Amino acid sequence: MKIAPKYQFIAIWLALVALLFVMFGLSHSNWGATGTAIILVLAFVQMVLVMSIFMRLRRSTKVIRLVACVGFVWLLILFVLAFSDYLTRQWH
Amino acid sequence: MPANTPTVEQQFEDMPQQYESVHLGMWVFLSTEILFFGGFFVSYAIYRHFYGHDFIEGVKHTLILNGTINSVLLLTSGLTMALAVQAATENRTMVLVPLLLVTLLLGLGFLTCKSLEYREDIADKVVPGAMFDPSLPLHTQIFFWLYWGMTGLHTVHMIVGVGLLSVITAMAARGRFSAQYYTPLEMVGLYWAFVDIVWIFLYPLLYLIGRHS
Repeated sequence: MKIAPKYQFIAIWLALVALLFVMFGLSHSNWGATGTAIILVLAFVQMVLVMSIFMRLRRSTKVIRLVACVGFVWLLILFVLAFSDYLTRQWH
Repeated sequence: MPANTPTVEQQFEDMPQQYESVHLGMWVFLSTEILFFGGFFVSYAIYRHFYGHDFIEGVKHTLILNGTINSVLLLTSGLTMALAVQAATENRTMVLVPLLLVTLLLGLGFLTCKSLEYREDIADKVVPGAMFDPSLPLHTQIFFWLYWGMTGLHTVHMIVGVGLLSVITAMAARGRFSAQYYTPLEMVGLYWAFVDIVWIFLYPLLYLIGRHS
């Protein structure tokens, strides 16, 4: 059975709001670094849902999907090069 | 010729190529936008790495109620925007204007909630500088520099988004979009979703992580 896109969008929105409240709940727990990691993973899941469904990447061509991911590759390079100093320097 | 009949510009072979090129251009633009915010995100990571404790004090002083309400408003506006684009693809032009108006109102709701939050933040003395709350750790100022910088840049994007939405809504009201042509609507939809995604990360970084540790 094929679900009409508008119902799919509403289902995704429900998932996004549910994830939001899970994140909110986790921030009020005492899980420390694990809680932080889970919250950030859930934010990442929210982003993937928005990009693939609301921004229609799932229905886009491979070229568009590739370009959509390239921005994150540059961001990753920015992080890796910045932290290549901070995580390796002798501090004392 | 009706206003909504698409024409192939001379540099393109056909409509599919023109359509693909517009999408490609928009996604390249959004990639540069990722790096526009990227400097703030990498600064956040570096300073949180060094001043984790002071950052947690900062997180405890942001207004989580406003942040959470704004998250719900933006996620919902993302839905109504996606529904508007979908309606155009299916030629359901009657629902187009109402959906865009709801999106616009949700965007304005976000900006109103954010302004009220900023007013309270100023009263709480969490603006870095001479007036900064002396009871907070020194480097919490770095957290709040990022708070004002990141939410400020995001707010500027929201204001631009609301402007674009107003134009698109006016175009939709004049019957400019149909299943044959809705490219401007779809492009504004992509921009709006991008601004939504930025907030998806600002919310946990500025309001959630470390709040109860």
